[in-house]
Amino acid sequence: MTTPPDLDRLRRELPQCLGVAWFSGAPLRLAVASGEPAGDAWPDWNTVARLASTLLHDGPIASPEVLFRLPEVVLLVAERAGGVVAVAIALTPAGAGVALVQARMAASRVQP
Amino acid sequence: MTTARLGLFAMFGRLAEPPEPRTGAWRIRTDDGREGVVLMEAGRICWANHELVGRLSDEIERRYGVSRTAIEQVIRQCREQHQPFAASLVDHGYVTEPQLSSVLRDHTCRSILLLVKSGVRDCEWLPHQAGGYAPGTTLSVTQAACYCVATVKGMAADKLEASLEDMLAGDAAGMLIHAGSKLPFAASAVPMTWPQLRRWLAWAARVEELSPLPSRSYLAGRGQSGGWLLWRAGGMIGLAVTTSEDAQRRLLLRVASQLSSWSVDQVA
Repeated sequence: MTTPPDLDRLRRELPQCLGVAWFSGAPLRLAVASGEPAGDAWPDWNTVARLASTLLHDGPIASPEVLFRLPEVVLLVAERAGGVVAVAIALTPAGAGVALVQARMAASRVQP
Repeated sequence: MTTARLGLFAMFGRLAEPPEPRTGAWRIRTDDGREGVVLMEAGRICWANHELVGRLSDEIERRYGVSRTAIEQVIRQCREQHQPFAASLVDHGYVTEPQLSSVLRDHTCRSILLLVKSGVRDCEWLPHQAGGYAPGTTLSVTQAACYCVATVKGMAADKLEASLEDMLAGDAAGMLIHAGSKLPFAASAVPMTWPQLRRWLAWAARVEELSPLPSRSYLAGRGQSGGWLLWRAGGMIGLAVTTSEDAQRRLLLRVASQLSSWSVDQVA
């Protein structure tokens, strides 16, 4: 399992990974991050932190995992014991499905 | 009975709560001393009328060229045989069911809007027996509310509904929300309760406020049974809520494949 200081290594191992972050506390705050969620066109990690609780808990159906499909990026936000992990993967010709699998695999390696 | 003057959303909040079995009529009195009526069957709106809105038969004649003589003949026959007028027009082949549905919706929503504009004071519930309206020609309260909002804003309510259903395809409840005004412009054919509409609309507005979705993007959440999906194209936001894994999967595939070309024809 990857610990927060290893987030840089996680990104190096997955070239399509634009960023990965761990959030904790109530309200959620960014604990540690490597890279950015989706470049300049979309929110920074602090915005993701503000959105996460609203999306995971307050939506029409409570969802332990939320997928953001942006024009060029897939961003996965998932609830874990003790916090929330977010992983941004650049879209490639392989498609959003592959990006989502990569995001899930990366997210599964992040633990507090 | 209510005593305070009701706005459009408050009025629909009232219409959404008829006593069980939710079949009957709301008799609505307005500030100008006039009356209107909203007929309901099993909680769905069948028909509304206000004396200042033109007659449905005139509208059918104007829109679809059904002659006055033919309409009067159907009316006579319906009175004699106790049959519903509108459905009989379809049975006789004078209009198609989609045409009937369209003209009924338009008439009903224009009547409700006129009632609200006149200042609604009292809503009195009068229970009665089922009227035998065809489900396809009735409206959910949420559909009627969104239709009214779109009409007030000068949008083509029918086209907005069609655009929404292109995405939902009967798999999900949901709505189209105008990003600028945060108002719902279309509601799904799959039933959505009035409290759901209010809660989901407030949630979507909150998400939009925190961080507006870029155009041609979507957000999806998956729960234990079903999930939700929020998408955006230009100034329009779509929200869909499913209640099964299969429906959520189909919805996700449809939005993912259609979002780049999906458009909303808003012009009335």
